[in-house]
Amino acid sequence: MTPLHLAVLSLLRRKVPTVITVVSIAISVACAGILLRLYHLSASRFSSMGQGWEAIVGAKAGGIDILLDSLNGEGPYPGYLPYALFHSLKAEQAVKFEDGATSQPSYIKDITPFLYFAKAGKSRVVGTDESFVNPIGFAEGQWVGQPGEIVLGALVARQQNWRVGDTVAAVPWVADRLGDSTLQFKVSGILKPTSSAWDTMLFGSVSDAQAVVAANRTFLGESSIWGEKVLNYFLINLHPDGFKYLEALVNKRTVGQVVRVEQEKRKLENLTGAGKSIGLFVSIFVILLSSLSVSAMLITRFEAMGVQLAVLRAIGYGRSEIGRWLIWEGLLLGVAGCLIGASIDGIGFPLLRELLGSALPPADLVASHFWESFPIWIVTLPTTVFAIFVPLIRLYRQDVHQALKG
Amino acid sequence: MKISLSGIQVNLPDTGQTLFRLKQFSVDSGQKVLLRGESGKGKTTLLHLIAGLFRPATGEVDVGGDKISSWSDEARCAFRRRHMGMVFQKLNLIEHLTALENVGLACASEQRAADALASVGLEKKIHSRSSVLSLGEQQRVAVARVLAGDAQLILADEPTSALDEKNAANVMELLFKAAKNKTLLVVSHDHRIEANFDSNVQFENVVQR
Repeated sequence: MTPLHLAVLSLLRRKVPTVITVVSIAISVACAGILLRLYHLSASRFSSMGQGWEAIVGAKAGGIDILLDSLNGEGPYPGYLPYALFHSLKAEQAVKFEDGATSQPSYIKDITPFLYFAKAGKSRVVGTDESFVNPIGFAEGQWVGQPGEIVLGALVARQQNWRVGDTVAAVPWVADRLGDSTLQFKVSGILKPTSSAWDTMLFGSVSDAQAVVAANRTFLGESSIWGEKVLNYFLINLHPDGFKYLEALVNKRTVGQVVRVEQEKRKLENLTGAGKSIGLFVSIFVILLSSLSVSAMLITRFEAMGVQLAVLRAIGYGRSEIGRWLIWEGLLLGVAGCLIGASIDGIGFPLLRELLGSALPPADLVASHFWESFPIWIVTLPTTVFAIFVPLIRLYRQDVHQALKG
Repeated sequence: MKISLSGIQVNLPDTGQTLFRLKQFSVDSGQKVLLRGESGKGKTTLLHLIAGLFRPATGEVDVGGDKISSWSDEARCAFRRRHMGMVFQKLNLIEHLTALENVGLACASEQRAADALASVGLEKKIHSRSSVLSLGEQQRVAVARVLAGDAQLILADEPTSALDEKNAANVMELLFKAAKNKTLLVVSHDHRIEANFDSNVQFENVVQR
């Protein structure tokens, strides 16, 4: 009887411990695989962030919140800024303050308005202007010319199969409340793909956006003292050394806060970097636990079989043959655990991603492939085989004569 | 297959004290020998020494012209597989395997294993797990394993001590059948099985303390 045959029989004939071990390996593989995919996902989330601006002005909040909410379309509805401030900055007009101080914002190269005002399904609808869409360019159609027109991000258009001239329905989204009414927009253009969060959004004019805010003024409550004349963000490009002037103006003298995009990205990378390392560590730890469980199971199994192994040795089975039996058992347990664990990973990860929602970049934008868990499977097999190391040592040290004498 | 031991000294593994010494002991090829003696005096140890399960502190174990006491563990293991069959008092079998699979451990052919089981009257139990077989049936499976392996030397350690009279007689009959034209050495303190051996040797008469 070959070592492989012995291993198969040993596993099949002791179903309960075999099933428990396989399930424990499978759960470990699934958990470690999912953690590894989350690790990859958090590493790639920055790739989906909107590009093209050096600074963002938003209502006072954490810098990372401003960054993710504006450039990645993540998180809850942001606070408001007065449109008048945007207008002054854009027109390079002197900004006058109550204490008599003035600021001449000549350090701004480009400034773009940004106001969330509706949702079409899961996609956010943004009020902005041509300075936002022109750098991206149009795959089809053009920027809105009439009230009630809208431009689609590339992914939204592809997923919904919407074309120029189609009518798009959306619901108002003001101060983090969704309205009951339905807004109808006519598609005037479709943007070129950017492989960023912009592909998942829709874009209308600021006047349309502010009209929706006005129509849902009751949602505003205390979040806006400027009525519908508001924006969520100003997306800005600056002349050299312009940031310190903008920062001095906005942070010290307005309700807004300016953040430098690259600086906040670095902060975010540092923060999530620690999380990613912990995730990787936990993945390794989970696999280690799994191998210990297999080892414990095999040790218990072969402790109980001490006399029977001695009988095998007495009838002429060498250590190498019994050792290969053990290795086959470890390998088969590992393969079975990996197959089941990979299946759980394959089914469970999309569900988990759905559950986490906006905490992760959209699946359409940043794909996470089943094969990303491959290293876990590769690590699991030698690890489970390594788990038979202790039983192997015991086998090699077994005194057959004493074992048979009992 | 002739067995010859000379100048043997066996020590206890834990204390290093001498368990017994043996100047000379031999069993001629084809002989059926019963080695009798009280429990706990070293009969099993002598049988294991002949089987090559361990090496003596001094002396030489020669089986079939091969001085196996100087060989490595693995070489002695391979020798046992080719030339020896062993039957123990109990716990002879791998419990999660069926009777057929247990016998199959000693031979490559399933048919041969099934024939061996049939020859010991267990043709209806070939697919029974050894853990559900009675002690008598387990001993018969162990004998079938020896039959299937075509060993030239059969070593049996108290093969009947856990069996009732009928089963003991049955197992001994099967052992003699398996040992036809072969060398058989049985170690036992069971007086019921003394008949039919070519030679009954008192263990105390061949060893020195």
